[in-house]
Amino acid sequence: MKRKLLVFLLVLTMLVSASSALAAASIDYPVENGHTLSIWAPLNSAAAKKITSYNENESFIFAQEYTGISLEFVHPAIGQETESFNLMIASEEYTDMVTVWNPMYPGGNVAAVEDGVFIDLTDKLDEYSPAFAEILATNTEYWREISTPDGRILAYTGYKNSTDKQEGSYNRLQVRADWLEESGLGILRTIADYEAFFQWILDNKEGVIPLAIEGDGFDATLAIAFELYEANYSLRDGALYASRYDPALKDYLEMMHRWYEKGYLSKDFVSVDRQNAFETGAAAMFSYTSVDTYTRCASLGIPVENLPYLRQEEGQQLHGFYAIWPNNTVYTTITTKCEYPEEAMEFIDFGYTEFGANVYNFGYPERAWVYGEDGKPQYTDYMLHNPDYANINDSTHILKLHSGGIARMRYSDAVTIPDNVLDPGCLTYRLQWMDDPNYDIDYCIPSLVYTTEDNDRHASLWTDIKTYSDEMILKFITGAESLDNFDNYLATLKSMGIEECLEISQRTYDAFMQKTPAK
Amino acid sequence: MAQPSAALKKSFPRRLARNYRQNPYIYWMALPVVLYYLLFHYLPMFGIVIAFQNFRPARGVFGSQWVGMQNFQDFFRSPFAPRLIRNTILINVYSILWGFPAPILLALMLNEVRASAYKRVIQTVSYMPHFISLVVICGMIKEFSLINGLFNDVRAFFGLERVGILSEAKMFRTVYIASGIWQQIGWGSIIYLATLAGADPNLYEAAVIDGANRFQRIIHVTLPVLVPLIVMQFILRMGQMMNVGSEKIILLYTPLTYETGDVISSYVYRRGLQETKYSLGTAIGLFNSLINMCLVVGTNALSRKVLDESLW
Repeated sequence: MKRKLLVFLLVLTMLVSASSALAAASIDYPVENGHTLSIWAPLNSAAAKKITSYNENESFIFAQEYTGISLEFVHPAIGQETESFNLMIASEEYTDMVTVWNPMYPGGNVAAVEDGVFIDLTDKLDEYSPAFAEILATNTEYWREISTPDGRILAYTGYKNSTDKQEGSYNRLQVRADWLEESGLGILRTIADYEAFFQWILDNKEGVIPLAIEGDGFDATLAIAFELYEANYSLRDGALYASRYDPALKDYLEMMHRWYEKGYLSKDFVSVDRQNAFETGAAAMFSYTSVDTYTRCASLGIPVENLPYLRQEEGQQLHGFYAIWPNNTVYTTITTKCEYPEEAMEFIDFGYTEFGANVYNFGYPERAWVYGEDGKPQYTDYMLHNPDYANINDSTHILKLHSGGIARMRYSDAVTIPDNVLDPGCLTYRLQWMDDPNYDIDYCIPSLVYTTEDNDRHASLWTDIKTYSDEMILKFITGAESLDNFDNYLATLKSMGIEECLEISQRTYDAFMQKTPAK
Repeated sequence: MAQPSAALKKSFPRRLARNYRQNPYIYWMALPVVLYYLLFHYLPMFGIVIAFQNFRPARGVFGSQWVGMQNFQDFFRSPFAPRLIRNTILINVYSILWGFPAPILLALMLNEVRASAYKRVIQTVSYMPHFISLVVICGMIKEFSLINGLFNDVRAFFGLERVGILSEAKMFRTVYIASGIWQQIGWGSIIYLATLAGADPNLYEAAVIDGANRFQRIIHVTLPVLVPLIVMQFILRMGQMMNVGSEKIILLYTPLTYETGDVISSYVYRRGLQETKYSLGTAIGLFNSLINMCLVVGTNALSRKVLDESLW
């Protein structure tokens, strides 16, 4: 009897705790007596063509109606985000919330909290942002990425739970399809293939530059063949390495210098606008985002084709330079000047609930989208064929929230970009070559969060290192500096303290991999 | 005679009060100017203290940590410091060498033009570029400097090879200074022309009677009229020796031209503003200002000795 009572009591407590957990797991919108909160956020340049504030964005309109909390957007001038942010900090007149692409405060969010600019969210998350807290509790990788070295949460960040981390490889070499066919060389895969094509262009297309690349000479789509990446650090055999300080850089630079000498690159590739060069027929190939190129070239009537990444030889195992991490950048923080931080937390939490994510990802419910038969949102004609928006890219930023604005849960572009939904060719184009069997993203590392001290030390060394290395990379390519001096280059980097940078980062990365949530 | 000495014996406030009663309006007229300098030039000097701190805006001047000469050491120990100082001085030396005489020459030439309408057209056309925004000017320079751009078309016309003009370190100063002269020559000549307009016609008449030809009149009459102004302009220009406007440099340079184009101000922009190391920026600014001040004082003393012309 006693035992039965015990079981009964146990079940009862479990039920009670379960129901209280359920109650905490969601916030009842609209909140009572919601206030107006100000939020500083860069306005997407595509959106700025049609609207002056995210208050006109339909996802935000609905979110405010639904949560009962109003927003007042403060947008910095486009192109002056950093200056504007620094000015706001220096003047000590912060908005209630701040959204940035990457932490802008000198020393990162850790320093910002230490200096009393942003607030520490850790202890209040369970109560005021249950949906966000739930994600953190279930996705350790995400928690690791956004928590500080001592396990605190200082910012909401964009969250993308992608099962396929490779989906994001969107930068590819884009080539004029008609010329490629004319040359009869077929799909270009190896360095030899590319050089044959470049030579064919030089011989057959008067005045056309075979290849237009990024102005800094460090083009990701080419450097990948040498295991070199634009990111500061990559991971090989468990150890971090810096591409700027890697012996393989010499091989890459030798190739680029050869291409420069042979005229495959323009003599002033540093200052050439590669997109413009390709679209005006002045360049035969360039590296760029595939979806953008596909749609622009379609409207301009230029035949274009995606190429697989450059390889030194057929079948070489490539390690990609871009992976989708759960932390999809975009950081929203709450400042110490916010009078109602709990309300701000409740508002932001909406974007991490399933319904809220639908609102931001797809637009105004029942207007821009409805639930389809599979229970997933489907766009209506209001989104796909809206007479007010001749260019679907504009509606992407106005009728829904494409990027920026506020941190929230983000779905895959494949389902949320109307372009992809409207024109399956676009999605196919983007996913082309994704089935490459000899491609992985093992060398990518997520963004590292340093302690304030490490960050100061690393930044002060890295700035000069980057300046010097940027300069030398271009000089090696143009031949202003002979590659015989490559060892001197490595020695100079060493004297500038690059090994200390590596050491700091390795330590940070190791700690990152080891830390686990307290709960 | 007795009066001034008696006045001198009186205390300063009493003399001031007396002088104020005599010339009240002059004091009122001077007031806004004095206030302007106090508010915008002397008060902000207090901010120099952050050169000796690790300044963090959110903590303010009083809350930030004192680091002594750390910021100065950071700058001078940077591997780029010698190059930055060299580039800054060289760009200024060449600017003075080529850019300083240019508006004087233009003014001398315009002064000889007798056709009034023609002169006006030349003047207007030559100072027009001064009003174009620097960003637009640099956009034009970049466009003209491309392989297929205007400058290379000219080179090709004369049988020279097409080169990436802005990608070559050795051409950076030429582009920078030549475009500067083009933009500022007309505007710079105005002050000289205005002075020449006030030159005594009797001097020219006397020179003609003495049989001086046109060139001799320029050398012996026109130029001496300009000397005080030229000296004054030169002394002031020396005070800019450590300054090169960062805007134009940043708009024109690429890593390939850092070798000749990276100057102190562009470095301060990268480190001080982009990385918000305000302390470092202030320290370098203080260092520059000290050198500039020494140069102004030195040039002024030299000029007083040699030419008997000086600012003070």
